[in-house]
Amino acid sequence: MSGRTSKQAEAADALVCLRDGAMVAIGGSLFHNKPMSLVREIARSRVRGLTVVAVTQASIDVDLLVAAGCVAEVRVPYLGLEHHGLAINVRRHAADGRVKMWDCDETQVIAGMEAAAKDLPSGLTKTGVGTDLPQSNPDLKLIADAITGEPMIAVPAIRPDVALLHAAQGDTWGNLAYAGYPFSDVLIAEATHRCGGKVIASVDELVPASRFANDPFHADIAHILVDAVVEAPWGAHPCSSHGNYQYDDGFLARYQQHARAGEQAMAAWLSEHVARPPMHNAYLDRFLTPTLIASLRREIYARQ
Amino acid sequence: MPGNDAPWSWPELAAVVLSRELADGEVGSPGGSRSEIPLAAARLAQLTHAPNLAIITSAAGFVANMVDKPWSPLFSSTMDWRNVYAGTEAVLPSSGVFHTRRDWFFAGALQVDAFGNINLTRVRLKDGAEMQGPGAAGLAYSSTMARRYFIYMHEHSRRSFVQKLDYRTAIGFGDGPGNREKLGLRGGGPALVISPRGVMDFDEATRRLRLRSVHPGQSVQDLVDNTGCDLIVPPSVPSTAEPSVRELDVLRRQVDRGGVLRR
Repeated sequence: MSGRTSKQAEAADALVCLRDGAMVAIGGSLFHNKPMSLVREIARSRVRGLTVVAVTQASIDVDLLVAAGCVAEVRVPYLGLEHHGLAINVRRHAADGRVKMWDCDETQVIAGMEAAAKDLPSGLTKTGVGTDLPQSNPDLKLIADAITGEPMIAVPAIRPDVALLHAAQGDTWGNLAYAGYPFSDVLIAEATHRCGGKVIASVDELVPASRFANDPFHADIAHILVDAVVEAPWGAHPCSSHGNYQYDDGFLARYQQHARAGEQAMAAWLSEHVARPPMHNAYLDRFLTPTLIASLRREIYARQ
Repeated sequence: MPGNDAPWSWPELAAVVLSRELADGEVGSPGGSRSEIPLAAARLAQLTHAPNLAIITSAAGFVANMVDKPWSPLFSSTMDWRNVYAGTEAVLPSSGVFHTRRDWFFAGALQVDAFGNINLTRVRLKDGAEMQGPGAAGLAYSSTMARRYFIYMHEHSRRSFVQKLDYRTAIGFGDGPGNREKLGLRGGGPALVISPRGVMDFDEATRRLRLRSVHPGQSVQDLVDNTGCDLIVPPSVPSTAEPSVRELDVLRRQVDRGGVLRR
């Protein structure tokens, strides 16, 4: 009898499956649970023409990939850095047509993902009736409901080629556990797995498989939906690993300063933070000091 | 933003005005581009007249009530993990975030028109170029489904209150009376628009934007001059009721001890 196959992988090896023009779904939301070490690896790999989907919100993850020139189309219901302002690189690349915006609401992306997860051609939603969304995004079809005839919006199934997730813990078989909110990561994994795509997860901590086997309720996402687990301590930085460590607000502010200063300043930022550290460990050594780590952890458990 | 010599800041006034709109037993979600204001409004309501009101911090599904709970700061992001310590009692699954009823929610916007339709997608600049906004988030959905909603505008100018939106991201009263019903939309539409100059609601018959009050220190004429869309101005426009001593006391002692709304 042969043994089980480990799904543990290095980031570069796990991402070999990512081709030019692929559809990539990124999990988490806003600046929480973003698989940033995988995002930086993609930016280094110079993959081109990606369609990036976020369920539901995105920030520096998608803005950074756009700045690095990897993205052709953005399917993100909210894209911005909240109190730090809008996504400057996306705004710049959208203004001159370098990226195409697939206008959408959160519930439309979810309807498309749920359709993919159920292997249906499309999903149905009331969202967008009476708005400009079906005009600016021709993939959203204004239709009459088959039962009642009332106006509805049909969304085509959204079938990612690759899904990128970040969890607090994982094991070698691909089981994943979240410390805080899992956002829509379960749906992303279900949709991507059902349509034959690859689900790649970075984890802050690779734990013994017994951690899951001894408590099956510990897993938020079952190993059967996951293709690769990449050990990446602090792998969501500068975003939060929700419930494990906070987002790095100062880092996000400095990112925005460079984005605002123009494409040259942004290229310099990418060179220092993405291109120069050849892998995640080098990034950690360069940008996460023990003092910073302590403060990002303290904010998680310290009641005010 | 117009100047203010009052003993409260404009965000504090907005939080107090909005809190008065929220009723006991309701379920709603603060959100938008400066979510500290609606979050403060909801917590203030819980601690004054609406102890059974439930807050869902939408995107992270936290269900919170601050009655008899320790104080927690107003964080910039409703998704912030630290909100787990802000009176949170249960966490909805991601599907439940969308399936659970909302009596109200809050929306910010780049532009609003006279029927309360809003734009968060993109605006056309003077030189013809387009500037990308943050996107619909979940507002196209919640404007369709929620019982009512409140729009708060950070800027009250002819650029933000417009006769015709550059893009309709979420529907208010659409093209006018009967439009929501014809499209089969579930919720009741926008209830209120608040800006740094005043408070507006919608005329019951025409569904058009109507001036309800101007904030203390602001003039009706200035507000009208800075409004680019049709606006119903009643013959007599009262001044927005100022925060009471009790409201301001609860707001500063129990909701915003850190003074986020005064900055």
